[in-house]
Amino acid sequence: MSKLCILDKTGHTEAASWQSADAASTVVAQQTFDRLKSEGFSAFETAQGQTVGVMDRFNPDADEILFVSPLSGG
Amino acid sequence: MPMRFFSFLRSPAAETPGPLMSTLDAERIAAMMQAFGEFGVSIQRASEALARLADLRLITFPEGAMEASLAYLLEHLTPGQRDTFERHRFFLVQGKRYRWRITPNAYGVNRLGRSGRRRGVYCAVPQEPVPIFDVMLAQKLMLESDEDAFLLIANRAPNRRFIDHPEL
Repeated sequence: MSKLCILDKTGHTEAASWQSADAASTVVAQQTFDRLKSEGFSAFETAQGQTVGVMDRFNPDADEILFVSPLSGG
Repeated sequence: MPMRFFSFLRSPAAETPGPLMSTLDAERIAAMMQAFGEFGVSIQRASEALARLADLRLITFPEGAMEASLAYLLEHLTPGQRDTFERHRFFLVQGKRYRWRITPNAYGVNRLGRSGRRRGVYCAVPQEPVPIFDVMLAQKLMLESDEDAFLLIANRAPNRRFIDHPEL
């Protein structure tokens, strides 16, 4: 089961989960991905402690996608 | 890992938020402004930094958020990073060009030289407020995946002699 999470005030929130073999859950995850991207969030693919990279498009084979609000100089 | 290891980070939810002056008296603010000056930071930038600090002190997180963010960070560290973090309260990240040390401090992202000594001190944080361990995770994600973008975004302390002030 893959999941899509957002870093937020609570620590993190799971916004969607999907299995690539399950079309319905994948569509919902993709829609969530697109919505968060359109809201300006940055998406990162991770797998077992490793950062795979920045994501511009949804990857149904990703283990986990983390969304972070854009970074700015602190 | 026992949570008391991170007892220096008291849960903001357990505290009553208040104005900056209630916790930092005028004397301490004057000392901080002087320290900023010694680092070559202009009065305007120092004032802006103190204002952001005041904002941070007014942010409260739901109960358990700090613990949740710590657990989530640990989940996303490599075994080597986790080991370093548990022993030293920081972890190391390899970017495309540089090696970095991420700490839970203000200006907590340190660029390291080949010898492991600090060569630059940077800060970039998510625009939406998140607990400190989420900030560290966001910095790790950014450095490991797009170091150049991090360097463009982050503020760099102008002087290498920047001293860590964990109490800030």
